[in-house]
Amino acid sequence: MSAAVAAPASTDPVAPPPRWGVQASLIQPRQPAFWLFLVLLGIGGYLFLDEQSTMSQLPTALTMSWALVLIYAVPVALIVYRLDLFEREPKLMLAAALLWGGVIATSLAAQANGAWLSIMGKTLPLDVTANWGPAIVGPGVEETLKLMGVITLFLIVPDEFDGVMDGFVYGAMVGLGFTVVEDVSYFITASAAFGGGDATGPVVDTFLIRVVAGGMYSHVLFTAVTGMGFAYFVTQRKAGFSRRVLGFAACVVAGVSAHVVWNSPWMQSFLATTSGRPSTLQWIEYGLVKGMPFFVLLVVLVVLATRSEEKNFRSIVAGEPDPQVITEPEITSLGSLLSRRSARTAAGRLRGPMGSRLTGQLQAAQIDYAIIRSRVGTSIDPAMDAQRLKIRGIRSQLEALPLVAAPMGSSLPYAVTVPYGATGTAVAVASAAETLPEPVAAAVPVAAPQEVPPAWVPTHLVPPSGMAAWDAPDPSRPPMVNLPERLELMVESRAGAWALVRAINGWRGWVDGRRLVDRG
Amino acid sequence: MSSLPPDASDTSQSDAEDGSTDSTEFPRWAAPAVPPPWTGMGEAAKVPTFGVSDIRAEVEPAAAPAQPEPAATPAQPTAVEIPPGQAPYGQAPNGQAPWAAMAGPAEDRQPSLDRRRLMPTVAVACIVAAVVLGGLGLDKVLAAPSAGKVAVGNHVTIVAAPGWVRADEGGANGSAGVTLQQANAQLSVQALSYGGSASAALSDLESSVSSEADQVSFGDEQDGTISGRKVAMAGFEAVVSGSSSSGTVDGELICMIASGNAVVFEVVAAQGDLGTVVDDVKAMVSSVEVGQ
Repeated sequence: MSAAVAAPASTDPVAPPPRWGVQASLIQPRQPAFWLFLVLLGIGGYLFLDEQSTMSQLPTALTMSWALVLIYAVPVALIVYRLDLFEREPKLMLAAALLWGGVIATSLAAQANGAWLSIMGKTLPLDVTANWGPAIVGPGVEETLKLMGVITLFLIVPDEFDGVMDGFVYGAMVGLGFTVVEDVSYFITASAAFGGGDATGPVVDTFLIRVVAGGMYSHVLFTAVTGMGFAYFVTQRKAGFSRRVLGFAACVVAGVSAHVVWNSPWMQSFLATTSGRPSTLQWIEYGLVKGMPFFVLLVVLVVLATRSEEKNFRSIVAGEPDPQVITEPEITSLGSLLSRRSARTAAGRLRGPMGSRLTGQLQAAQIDYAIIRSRVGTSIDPAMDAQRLKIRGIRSQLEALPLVAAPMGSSLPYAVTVPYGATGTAVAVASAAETLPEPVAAAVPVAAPQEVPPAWVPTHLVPPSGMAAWDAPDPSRPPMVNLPERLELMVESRAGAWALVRAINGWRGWVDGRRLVDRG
Repeated sequence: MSSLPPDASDTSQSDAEDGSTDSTEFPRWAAPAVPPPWTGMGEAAKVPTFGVSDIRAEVEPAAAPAQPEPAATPAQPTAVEIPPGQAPYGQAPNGQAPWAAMAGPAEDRQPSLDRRRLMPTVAVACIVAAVVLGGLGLDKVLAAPSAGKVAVGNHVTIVAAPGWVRADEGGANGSAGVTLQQANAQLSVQALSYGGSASAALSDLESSVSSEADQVSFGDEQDGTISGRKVAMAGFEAVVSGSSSSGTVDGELICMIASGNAVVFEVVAAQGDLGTVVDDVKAMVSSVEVGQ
């Protein structure tokens, strides 16, 4: 087991770690932005329902449209949610972001787009309006309205914006809501146009074009980038004001540019066809060429933001004295979804499916530990102790699992395997290049029995109302402590009615063995 | 801690109902005071230091062990050292009643708005209003350019609605007909000598459109009169594609019989935008004049 976690050397002494654990509700009647949100939701909701009512004249196409966009939207929402590795945002806030994008922004944009296109037509040459109207008006109107959604959410609950990653999450959710409702509108229009009625074929065709070919480069991307810029501006206060403004502006320019390029008439040659309509493959090529550069940019930004989150996580858990709670390799393995999965997979190979499951629980408990610690601001707190106890309990269950044989020739990364599967004294640390030793050999404790007690496996519970404990089986001596009810203990030995028990943290004492409750 | 209850004297009572406690479920006792067994490992000074060997040395294996009599034990459990900042059992921090922590500071209960964020919120509202209402308002006040009165051919003229301008270089090619354009809609008008009915002219026009589009579907024909002249009309949706672009359009075909001429209107708009130009097209159809 690695030593206690040390504070990261690069931690800025001026910047305090974020308060991840402080989660606030969306319902903030004292915040003017909350009322602005409600008013706009009312206006947008009316327009949204009116449009849906019109579309319901094609019930089959409408049902198919919503089913298809949900097939796309649910996984995207989950990915966005899970990419926020450490401090997941409150679900009500995420729902508000979706509502802003899908109800408020789409409804208002539908009104504004037509007006601004008309203004373009009145003030610019018609060919400019015809060719570039969607590329100028669309991004200008829609990105502004969507970004206002991210800013409004910030004004309602600023504490939920702890880092750049939060801007990504809220921006992506606003964009996802927008693209879902807009896609449904396009699907229905296609159904009315091509099918001449309530047909599903055109819905599927449009789904292939808009979602399969271009879904990765849609409003989710645009608003995620602008949202990250805004979050950078409001959260990275250790950077200078001008630098924050520059970062914000750069991200807004990038997000809007991505939208402009997507709507522009550029690269139409990819859709050129001698007869009939462009194929789905042509649409995919078109989407790749137009959207991939910005998608790569988004990935880079997300990776950078994730590293920043990991640094914050490290600074929060720094100084934890108990190596059973979290170790350096475990912090590293929590740094990405991939490394987390790798750790679970490795634990599964080492200790079976239950090992993988418990490793997942351990990872979640360790993140919760950081959340709690960021909230209470100290390492000494009952809630912290409870979380430590939970982590130790999961770890002890994990360590109590029997080892299973690893596949022949498999090579498991120690940096991942050891923290989640080892007792700390049982497995010798090897270099990352070495292969895993024989599981049986690894399971044998190498330390002397006097120094290393057997693995702690809870056998009993303290009964309701608690019970006293003595430092020796002598009733004439005063009890040294009163154990709380339901505390898990392991009975190491018995002497008459006395039982020598051990708690998870190694504490030992004598109790009335007759009153202990068998865990069964 | 001296108020802690002594252990139950009835040692025969069964506590087996708790035996099913899930090992990962942690009871609420963990939240209040925390005695040494589950206190943070860093607080080593608070953890009892005796070990197994120490205890075994004090126990005589051969002797009958003294039965623990928790209830009869005269001494109350000794006070447990409480870590700084923690409250004793049953007490909230600072000696407050348990529910005291539920109520926030007095200012939290005030219903007044947070004035610090009023101006930023107003700014957001203004931006949203500028984008939406500003666009709608500006569109209304801006005078739209217009082609004015346009000669279609065969002595037929129409008056272009505001916002509609020539899109065919002023008819320089000499063909009978004119094309007008608005932001995202296009209107083609032709005047041809025709001896048939408006309905027959519409059928001919539909055949022509069908041959030009990749896919097209027409709505039902509607007959009527505009400015005293017979009119036949039908809506359509079509897929059009070219060497550089492709797309779906909405459209309307209108055929009017006027003084031995068939005046044919074909309006095409981007998908979903046809509704915004319907009034303009009606006005232009009504403006048809046939000169001598």
